Amino acid sequence: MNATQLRLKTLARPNPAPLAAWLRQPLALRSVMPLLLCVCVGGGAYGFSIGLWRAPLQGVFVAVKMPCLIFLTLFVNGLLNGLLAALLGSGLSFRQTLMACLMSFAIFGLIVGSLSPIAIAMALDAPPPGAVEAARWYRVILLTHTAIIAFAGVVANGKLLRLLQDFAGSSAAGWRVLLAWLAGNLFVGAQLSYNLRPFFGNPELPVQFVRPDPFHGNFYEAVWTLLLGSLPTSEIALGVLRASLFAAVCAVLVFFLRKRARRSPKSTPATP
Amino acid sequence: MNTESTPPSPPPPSPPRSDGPVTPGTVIDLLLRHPERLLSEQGRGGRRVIGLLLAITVLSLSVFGFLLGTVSGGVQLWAAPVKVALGTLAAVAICLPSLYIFSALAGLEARLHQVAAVVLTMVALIGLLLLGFAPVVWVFSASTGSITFMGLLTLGFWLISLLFGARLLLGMTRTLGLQTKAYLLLWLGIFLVVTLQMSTSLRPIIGSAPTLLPTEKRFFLEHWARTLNAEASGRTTD
Repeated sequence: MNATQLRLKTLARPNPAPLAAWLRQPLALRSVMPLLLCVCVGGGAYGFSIGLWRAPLQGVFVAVKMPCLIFLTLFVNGLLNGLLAALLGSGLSFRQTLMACLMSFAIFGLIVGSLSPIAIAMALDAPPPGAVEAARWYRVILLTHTAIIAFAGVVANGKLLRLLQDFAGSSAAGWRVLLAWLAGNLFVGAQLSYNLRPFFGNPELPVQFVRPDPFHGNFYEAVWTLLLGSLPTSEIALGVLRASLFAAVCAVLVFFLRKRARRSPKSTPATP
Repeated sequence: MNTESTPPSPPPPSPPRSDGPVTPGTVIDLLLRHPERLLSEQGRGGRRVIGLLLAITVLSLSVFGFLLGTVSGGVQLWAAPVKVALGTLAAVAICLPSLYIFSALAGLEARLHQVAAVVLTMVALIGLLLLGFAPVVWVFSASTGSITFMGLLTLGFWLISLLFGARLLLGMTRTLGLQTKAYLLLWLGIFLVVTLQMSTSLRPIIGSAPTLLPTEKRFFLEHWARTLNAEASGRTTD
């Protein structure tokens, strides 16, 4: 068994200690290469299965874009993740932060890559776009990919959490860092995936690597516009937004009040 | 099957050396991991530590301001970094006397220069975090022309950074003998309002306008409401 295979096995193991030992090693190409391989090959194969239903060329495009999306997210959030890791008590250096995030994405790539033959078979078995049953199949394909991504995301982040807890020596610190990283990566990842669209490929639009205007608009404005469009009037949308904000403020207040109540010392019985 | 041997867990990280030279790397490391030790470093390193903290603040805020300026381009490429850096330092200078008094009310036995060092440390951390957010700002500034969206995004980043700054301020003052944090929380609220008003007084920072500084005085909430209304009705605003 060569070194790369050993590394891949280490990634898949449930025990975080070997991953922590890997993270503590000095930076070398042989320690990074298996991670890059997982992201490029696993992510690429899975990307191909996503675009394949629309057209084989779309599959090739998405196979290239999927690893790019992961690396761009890592690049854009690298500095912030490093700062947050130091501030929130993870005990990780900047290099180790980047490696830990890359490990998490590599585990994700490993899982989705291993499921890509099933997804490819499903795309090949489905009626092509424009066929009678295509719309129903399209929904099934979308749901399947959502389930695969969710499963891989949960497993990869679960392993990252255990790694962080092992490294920080504290369960709470591990959770804090993971949640901070997740928030940042999801926030930026959603926008970058919007810039790099299409992934699944709308059957009514041509097969393209990226849309002609990839930097026009952003993900969150698009969601807001969709929200406004899906409700009868914009006043209702604003009402929903206000109600949500009010509920969020109430939730925060309740959280702090309960925390305060827990902290306050219990009344002790009077001594006779 | 071949299994990898797990090396023994390494010793806990030792505190940074306090007898070596004070470098920007040391200051950043202390700022992120052990901010309370910066106080003793300031006692030892004197002006050099303060100078480095100031340099980190100005540089970080300038880079963040530059990326905010790329939303509109042109004059804003140099005006926004200058306004962000100088505006923040001006807000600190305005709020320093009240922090000194409030910290005394809170039971802190610190001299003015110590309080100034604490607030400078807080602003340096805020600057570093904003520098971390800068690539995210760049991604969105390349994708949207909406001043409202960029304003909300920047406000969100400012609030997150200030939250970490507040945590640092409270932690550092605790080592100086803080007895009650209510006064400092009040001061943090005042500092937040001052910085938000400063961003309105120095507008435009994200958008563009015919003049470098505003010709009309406005409260920041009024300015936000006008900007929201203007964007909703399709007009451009500063």
